[in-house]
Amino acid sequence: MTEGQGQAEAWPEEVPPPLTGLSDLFDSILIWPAKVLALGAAVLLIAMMMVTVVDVAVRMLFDGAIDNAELMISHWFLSGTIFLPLAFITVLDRHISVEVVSQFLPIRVQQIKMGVFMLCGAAIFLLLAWQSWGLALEKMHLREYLSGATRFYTWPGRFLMPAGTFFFAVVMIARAAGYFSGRVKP
Amino acid sequence: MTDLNIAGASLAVIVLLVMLRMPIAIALLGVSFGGIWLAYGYPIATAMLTAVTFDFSTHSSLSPIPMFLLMGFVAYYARITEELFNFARASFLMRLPGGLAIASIGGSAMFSAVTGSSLACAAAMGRIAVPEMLRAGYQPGLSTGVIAAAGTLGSMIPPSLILLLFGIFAQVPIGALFIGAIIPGLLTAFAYGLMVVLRVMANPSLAPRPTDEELADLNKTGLREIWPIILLIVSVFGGLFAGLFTATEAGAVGALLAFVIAAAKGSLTWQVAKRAITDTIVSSAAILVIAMSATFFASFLALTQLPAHISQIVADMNFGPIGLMIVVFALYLVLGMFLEVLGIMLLTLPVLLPLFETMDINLIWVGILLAKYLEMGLITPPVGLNVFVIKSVVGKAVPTDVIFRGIAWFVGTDVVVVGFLIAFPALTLWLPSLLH
Repeated sequence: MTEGQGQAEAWPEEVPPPLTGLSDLFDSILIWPAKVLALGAAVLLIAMMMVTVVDVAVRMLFDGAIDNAELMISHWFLSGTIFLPLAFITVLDRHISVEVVSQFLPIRVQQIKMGVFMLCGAAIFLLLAWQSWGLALEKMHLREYLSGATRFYTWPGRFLMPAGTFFFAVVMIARAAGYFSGRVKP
Repeated sequence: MTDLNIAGASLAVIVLLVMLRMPIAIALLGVSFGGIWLAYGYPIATAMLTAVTFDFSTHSSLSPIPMFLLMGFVAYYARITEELFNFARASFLMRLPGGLAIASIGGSAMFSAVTGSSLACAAAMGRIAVPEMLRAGYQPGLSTGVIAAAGTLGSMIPPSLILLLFGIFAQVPIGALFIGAIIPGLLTAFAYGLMVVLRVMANPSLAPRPTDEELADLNKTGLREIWPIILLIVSVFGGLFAGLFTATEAGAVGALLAFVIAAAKGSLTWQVAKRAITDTIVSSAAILVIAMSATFFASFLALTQLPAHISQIVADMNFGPIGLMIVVFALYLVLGMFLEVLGIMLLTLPVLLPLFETMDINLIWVGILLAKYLEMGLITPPVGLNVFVIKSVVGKAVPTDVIFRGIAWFVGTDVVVVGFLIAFPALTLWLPSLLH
């Protein structure tokens, strides 16, 4: 290994299980929007870092501040960082869960159990997507804002939750299909 | 069924589902929603679901989490912390019995000041130090156990992810928690080192002493090689503790500095940036969605007044603060054997926090003790995540049961450290008191 190589090159990326295992094309069609949303989250993450650092620099050097920096971070960037990558987490199979009892069950039982769990998750997040979508539309019509240094429009950030949770639910349904078909191993 | 019965049953169902491997966020959110629906009806359940989750997602106190994660992942993937082990190895630590193991503890303690994750700490140090110790003839249990245990310093020495989440939930200043964890973190590192020295003195075959020639040949990594890390740590925590930065600002400055240092060292490749950012968004979302679900769960419990009832029952038992912290220690040790650490904390805080507040226990002390309890969960069987990280490093060279046997000594040491922290709260509270 050369000196310039980092852990990234030294450690190969883990290969996630197929989403459904039913068809590569079908899986790709579902994985693509999950990747786009994750890319959006990455952009918002870097924006959060840059806005915060510039705000600190402006405050220290010029005794000023970026208008509404904190509102921008909490209502736009942070919401995006939480909700947009959710579908991608399912694609990568990186949910935080515990492997204690489950591993001793027969593989078919594990698949059915995980399929049911994914459907339960999809149901609750679909409900959340539906509710938050209605609320986002309502706030958009009202042109919701908060008064900070200047008027700060918060309504665009309202759409991040329904977008992220809807695709999260869709990908969980797909993963459930993979488990039920027996093509995806937990 | 009364509200209290529904809340109690929901708690039991959540634990059962989590143990059956339902993702923790789904278990918390789904069961809490069902509980509210049963107790108060569907309209209230849906209204609460939307309101609580949206309010949580716009809470500015959460923003340090992705920032500190980004700093840690950039430092990790760009290997800007690699010289820390070499630096510790070139120091006087190498001349002590079990020198390589102690240098590993020193390197882990320094690495912990850059990353808030125990797993990242164990993985990074494991890759470097375990093969070296095995090559030097160290006993496999000691070689692997010391890294798995030293990795837990990542949860104690700031910036700790566990302390960040605790601070957000308990509304305790993050700076006070971070500075309070410094002495307990260093005490843990010192206790591990002392235990290794005593064990090796009693049984020198555990860790062969290097010859004088080998000591002379050691990589003379000096401060010059590790100054970027020192700069990063001093900038981030100096700014935070001096009150120049908020926690979010400290994390953001640290993340940007990590990028700049990696670029200056020539290790910031596209692949490194991509892996660091991907891991940050995946980890942030995975953690924050659990925290969001736990907030919803806490709202549900608050509605049913279950925490207040439990507080009353425990208050009637007259445990006192120290007795209560010992009971919680036992509870966390048991839960730590089966559940993931963040899950344990977010599952239990809604019940425990009102209890601590009722008994007027200092929440900084509580937060740091809980972090210490939880880090022990990372190395106790059967769900000792740090052990699995080390296992992935050593492959078939060291069986899992040998790693767990090696760790047993460190778990024993942790129990002694916990005893000190409970008996002497000043060890935790002295530094935060200086902030005022």
